[in-house]
Amino acid sequence: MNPIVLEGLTVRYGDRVALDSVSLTVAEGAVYALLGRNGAGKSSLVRCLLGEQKPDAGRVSLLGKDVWRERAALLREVGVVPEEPDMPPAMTLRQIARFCSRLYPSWDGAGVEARLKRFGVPADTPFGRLSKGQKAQVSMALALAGSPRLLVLDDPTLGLDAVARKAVFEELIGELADRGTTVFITSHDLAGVERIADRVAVLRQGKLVLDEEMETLKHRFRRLSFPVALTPGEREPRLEALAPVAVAARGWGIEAVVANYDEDRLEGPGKGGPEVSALTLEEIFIALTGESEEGR
Amino acid sequence: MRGFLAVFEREIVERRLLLAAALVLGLVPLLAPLLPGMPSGPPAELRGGTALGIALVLTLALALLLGSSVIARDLVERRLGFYFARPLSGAALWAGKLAAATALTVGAGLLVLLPTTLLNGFPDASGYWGTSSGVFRSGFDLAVIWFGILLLTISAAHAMSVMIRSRSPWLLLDLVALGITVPVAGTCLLTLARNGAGVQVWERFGPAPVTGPTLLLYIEIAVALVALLGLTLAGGAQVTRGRTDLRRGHRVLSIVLWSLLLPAALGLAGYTRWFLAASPEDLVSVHGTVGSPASPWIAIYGQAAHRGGYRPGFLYDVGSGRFVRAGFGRSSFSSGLSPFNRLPLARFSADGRRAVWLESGDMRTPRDDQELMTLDLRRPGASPQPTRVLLRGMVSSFALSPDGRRVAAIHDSRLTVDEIDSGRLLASARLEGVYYGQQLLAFSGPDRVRLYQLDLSYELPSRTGMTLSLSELDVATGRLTTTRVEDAAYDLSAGIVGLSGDRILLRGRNVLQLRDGATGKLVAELGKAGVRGSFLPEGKVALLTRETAGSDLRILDAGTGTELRRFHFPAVRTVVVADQPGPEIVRVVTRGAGGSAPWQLWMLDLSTGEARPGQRLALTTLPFLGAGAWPSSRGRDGMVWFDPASAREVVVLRDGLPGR
Repeated sequence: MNPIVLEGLTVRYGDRVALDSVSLTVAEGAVYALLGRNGAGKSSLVRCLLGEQKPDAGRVSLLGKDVWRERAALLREVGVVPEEPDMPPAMTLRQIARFCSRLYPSWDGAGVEARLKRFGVPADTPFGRLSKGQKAQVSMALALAGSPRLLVLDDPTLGLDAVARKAVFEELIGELADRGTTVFITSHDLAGVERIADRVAVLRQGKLVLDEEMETLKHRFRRLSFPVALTPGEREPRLEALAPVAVAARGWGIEAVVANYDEDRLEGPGKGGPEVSALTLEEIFIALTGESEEGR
Repeated sequence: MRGFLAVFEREIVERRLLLAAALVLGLVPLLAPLLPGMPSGPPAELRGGTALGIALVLTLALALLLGSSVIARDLVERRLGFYFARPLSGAALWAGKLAAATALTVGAGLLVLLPTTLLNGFPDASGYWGTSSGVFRSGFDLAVIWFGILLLTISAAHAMSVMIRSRSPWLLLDLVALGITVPVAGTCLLTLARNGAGVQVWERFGPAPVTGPTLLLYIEIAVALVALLGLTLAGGAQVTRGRTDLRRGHRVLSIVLWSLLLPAALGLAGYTRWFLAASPEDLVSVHGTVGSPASPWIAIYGQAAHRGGYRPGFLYDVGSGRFVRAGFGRSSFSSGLSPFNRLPLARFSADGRRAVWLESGDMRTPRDDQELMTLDLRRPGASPQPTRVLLRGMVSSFALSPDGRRVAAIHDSRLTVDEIDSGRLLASARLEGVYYGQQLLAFSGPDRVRLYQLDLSYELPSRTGMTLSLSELDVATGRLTTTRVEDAAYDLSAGIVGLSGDRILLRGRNVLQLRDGATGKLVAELGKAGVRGSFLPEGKVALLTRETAGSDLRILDAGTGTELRRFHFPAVRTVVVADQPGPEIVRVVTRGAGGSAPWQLWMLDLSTGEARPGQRLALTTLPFLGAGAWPSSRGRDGMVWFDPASAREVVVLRDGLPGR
C-alpha cells in the first residue's frame, strides 16, 4: 500500500489556481521530496495532505484512507513537522510533550527527552522563548515520538542556519536508518534533500512538472561542455537529441544542460567529444525552474 | 474523549492566571462595608451584593473575551495547525475549548464569591432579584439561567469573532441574516408579550417582579435554546469542516448558523401569526360582552385557548359568524384599572350602523394615548378603521352620540367632545373633580353631554354618604355646569343602574332610587331589599320584586315613579324581561322554584294589563339578566343567547364560558 496517493488535487483561492490537478504517489519507505518556489503550491498541498484543508477537486489518500474524512485517526500514525512551528508559546516543552502524549497510542517520552537533551533544549523552557533552530528541533523530536509510519515535513529547515539545518537532517537520517519510515518533505534546502531523497517532484505554478527517482533524475540531467566555437546561428547537432534545457556560449566553447542524457547519442558528426559532468539537485532545479533557491 | 480532556486541560492550564486573578478580586467584597459611598446595610449583605455584582460583571466579560479568542485568535495567529497536525478531531477540539472557556468563566465567578462565602455563607441571589415572586423559585433557577446566558455569550462571541476576523464577503450575508433574524424574533417576542402571552423574562428580575402567564417564558427559553444550539453547532461545524481555513470556516459557520436560525425566526413569526389569529371560536373564557341595540353585532372579549394570557377582542356578528379583531380588550380591561374605571368594550350607535372603541399600544401602560377606532357594521367586508380622534392620557369613560357622529370622553381630567369623521375637537372642559368611582357618560341631546359620577370615598369621616355629581357640557358654547347631590348613596353596592331620557336609576343600601337626570333630585324610592329595576326601551321602569307566593313585575311611570301596571306570577321565582317587541307589549321569561322547573314565555300587554302565557322553553340556563343585556351565560352547549323572537337558545360560542 502506498502511504500517500494524490489524484487530481486542485485548490483555488478565488480566481487563482494554487494546485492544478496534481497527482502523485509516495511508495512505502520512500523519501519523497517536493520542491518548488514560494507560491508554487507546496503549503496548500501539505495542508490537503494532512486533512487541514479540503481541496476543491481531487482526492487525498493517506495510509490508504481518505484523509479529509478520517484525519484524526490517520494522524496517529503520522508525524508532522510544520513550516512554522506553531505550538502555544506559553507552554513549556514538557507540557507540550505531555499534551501530545495523550493523543497518540504509542508515545516515546524517553525518546523526546533524549532528543531534547541531545539538541541542548531545556524541557522547562516555554516554547515561545526558543530560537528558530530549537523550535525546529523540538518539532522534529515531537514528530518522531509517536513512532510514525509516515513523516511529513513542511520545509523544516526554513530560516535555519547551517548548523541547525544539519542537525535536523541528521536526525532525519538517523530515523530513516533506524525505522525506514516513509518521509514526505518539502524544502528549500536542496543540498540537504539531495542527501536523503529517493524521489523528487517539482511544483511550478501549481502544476507538477517533475516527479522522478533521484537516481534517474541525476543520470538524465547532465552538463555538457563542448570545446568548440560555433558561428552565430550555428547549432551543435548532437545536442538536439538530448533535450537541452539550457545552452550558453563560453569563451572556450559552449556549455549545455541536457534533460535526456544518453552517451550513445553523443556519437555523431560533431566537432569533438564533450566533457560530461553530473549536476547537483540545485542545478537541476535551477535548470528546470529558471531560478536559484538561494537568496530567497 | 482523550482528545477532549487533553484540550480542556491545556486550556485551563494556559489560562490559570485568570482564576488566580478572580480569587484576588474576590477579596474586594470583604472590604465593601468599609468603602466610601456604599449604601448602609448589614455588612454581610453589602459583601454578598458586591461579590455577586463583581461575579456578574466578571463572568460576562470573560465569556465575551474567551468566546472571541479561544478558536478565532488561534486561527488568525496560525496556531490552530498545532492541533490539526495531531490525531485530534475537530469536535473534540471545539468541545474541549468551549468547555474550558465555560469552566474558566464559571470558575472565575465562583472564586470571586469564595471569600465572601467563607465569611458569610453563599450570597443569596434571590434576595437581589426578587425571586420571591415565585416565577423562579430559587437561586438555583437563577444560576441555571445565568449559566445559559454565559454559554450563549461564549458561543455568540466566538461566531462574531470568526465573522469579523475572516474578512470574508460572507460577513455581508451574516449582517443581512442578523438584520432579519433579530428584528423578527424581537418583534415576535414583543408582540407576544404585549398580547398577554406573558411578560419578558427579564421583567421577572426587576425590583418588583412581574408574574403572570408563563407561556412566553417557555417561548423565550425555546428561543434561547435554539440560538444556543445554532451557535454551538455552527461553531463546531466551523472547526470540524473549516479546520485551519478561516474563510472556509466562516462560510461553514454562516451556513449552519443561519440555516438554523432563519427558519427558527420564521417559525416564531408563524407561531406569532397563529397566536394573533385567534377567532371568537377560540375563546374559552368570555370576560365581557356588549351588544348592539339594532344589529346582530356584539363586542366580545375573553381568554383564547392555548395562548397564555392572550385576551383578544372581537366585533362579532352572531347571525353570520363574521368577525373582525379589535384591540379594545387591552384598554378596556387593563390590569392597571380598577373594575369601576374599566371602559366599556365598545359603543354602538343607536341605529346599529357604527361601532367605536379605543385601542392603545401596550396592555400594561394604560396611560398611553388611545386611538378611537371605528367599524361600519352595515358594510360587508368592512375592516376596522382608525379615526383622527386621539385621546391623550388615561381615558376613564367614553360615549358615542346616538347618531354615531360624535364621541365624548373623559381623559386627562377633561371632558371632550370630538367629531369622529373630521377628528375636530368640538368642546373641551376641565373637570373640577374626577372621582375614582363609578362614572356614566351619555349624550343627553344633540349638543349636550352629561356626566354622572359617584364618589365612592365614603370612608372620609366627614361623609355620611356618597356624593352624586352631575356635569353637563354644552357642546356649542363649551360651558360646563356641575351639580352635586350629597348623600346620594351609602355603600359600595351603590351604582348607576340605568339612564333613560331625564331619569336615572341609582341603587343604594337596600334602596332603589329614581332620580331626575338633570338635577339629581330624588323622584321616588322604588323598593327595598331584593328589588331589581331597569328601563324598558320605551322609557318606563320595570321593577321586579320577589314575594313569598311568587314574583311581581311592576311597570312604573318614569316621570313620577307611580305604578302603571302590576303583573303577578304565582309560584314563580324568577322573572326576566326579554324585550319589547311593540308599543305597550313586553315579553318576559319566568321560571318556578327548583332546578328542574320549566321556563315559560309570557306576553304582557301594558295597556290592558293582560298576561298571555306563551310556549314552554327548553332553556339550559338563564340567558340574560334584563332587557338589552347580551349573552354571558354558559348553557349545556357553550355560551348561549336567548332569542325572544324565536323563543330559542342560540349558541354563540360553542366552547366559550363566561369568566368570573
